[in-house]
Amino acid sequence: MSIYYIYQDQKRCIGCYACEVHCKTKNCLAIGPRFCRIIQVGPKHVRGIPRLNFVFMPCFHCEKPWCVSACPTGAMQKRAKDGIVFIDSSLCVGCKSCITACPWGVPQWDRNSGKAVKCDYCKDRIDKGLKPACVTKCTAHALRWMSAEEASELKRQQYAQELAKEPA
Amino acid sequence: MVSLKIDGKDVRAAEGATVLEAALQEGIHIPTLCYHKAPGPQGLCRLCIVEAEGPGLRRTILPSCNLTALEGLKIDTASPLIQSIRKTIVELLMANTPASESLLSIAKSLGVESSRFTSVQKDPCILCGLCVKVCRNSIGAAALSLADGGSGSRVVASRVVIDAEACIGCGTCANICPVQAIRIEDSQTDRNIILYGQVVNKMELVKCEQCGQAHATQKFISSVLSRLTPEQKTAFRNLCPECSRVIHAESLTGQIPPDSHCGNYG
Repeated sequence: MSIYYIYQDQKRCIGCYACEVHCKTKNCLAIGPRFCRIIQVGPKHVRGIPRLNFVFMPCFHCEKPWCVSACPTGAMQKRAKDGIVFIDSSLCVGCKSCITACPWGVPQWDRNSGKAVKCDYCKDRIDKGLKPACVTKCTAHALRWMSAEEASELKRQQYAQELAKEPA
Repeated sequence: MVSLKIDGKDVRAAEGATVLEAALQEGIHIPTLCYHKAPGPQGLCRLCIVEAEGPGLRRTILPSCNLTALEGLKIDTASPLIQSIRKTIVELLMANTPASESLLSIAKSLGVESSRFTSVQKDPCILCGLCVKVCRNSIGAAALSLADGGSGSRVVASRVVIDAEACIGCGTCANICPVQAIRIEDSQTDRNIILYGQVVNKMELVKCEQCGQAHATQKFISSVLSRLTPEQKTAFRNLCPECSRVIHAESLTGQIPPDSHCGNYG
């Protein structure tokens, strides 16, 4: 896994899609490919109350990425220094193996270039000490850029708090 | 690193890089149709010719995709001689082929409006062999080959032929063809591979187990699976990319404790 993590606080997310818009703008994406996605789930009834969830889905930058294994040309790579999974587009022949292999449907098809494209955590911005476009422009501050360690710590704390909150 | 001069500009290139790559990296445009970095250079379309001169090399015309960037090389990518030869190459390609978009755009950039030559072939294929090379070297299927070449032949090749049994129906050939001579047409159930206007292979498409949309051929899925590790294979599901995302998002919301509050924002 990459040393970074984008944490989404679903309580704060209002489903405004600013993350998707700014991702597309920053990465100059035409109609079609979307690197990160807000997926609306629901409304579902939770304890009798209708609830709508917005799940933020960027690439997870897996430890052992399916897409990297599947790529026959070596275009799909994992950056050694921080584990970011990215595509060297000059090597991509557009076979779509990565798109078929990824269990989460992360790699996208760019019809204009005839190549696969994907979220690279805006690595050019990261290298300049900035945060990815989606995090930077999240209107509700629901997205947070953190290390993978911080993320697991945060999630554990949250879960503990939830357990302590006994139903009345 | 090696140092060379391209169009009078000092250029540093990585050891083993080609002149075409070195030029691209410096933003110097050299036209080409058959070059792709993944399967490697071929030197078949001849559009990327340059004039090269250097230690131990007298002034020669060579395709830059096949020419290694060596220390002290002097390269001219658009000298009057190169421009004139390149124009003739474009005219010859245009004579053989009803103009494809990419060829027309190169012709336009060189100021070529029509061809002085005529030929009987009326198919966009320029026999550059990129599809053959990608199918063999990158995809590993080796379903395409150039026919009627070899010793004793009076032509380099007459056409591209397909071995339908070896074809996995990935569509990379159609995607990579610089002149759109190969086409893929998908129906609700089948994938048709069209070469020289004829359906040369028809393969059944597998349906996404969630939405039922046809998305890939079984042979292609098997080829992708063959490159995955055993652990990765077990997580593989026959889903279209869109369904993969949505199903995962739903499973995530099912697991998240309800009403948890982060408390890190005031």
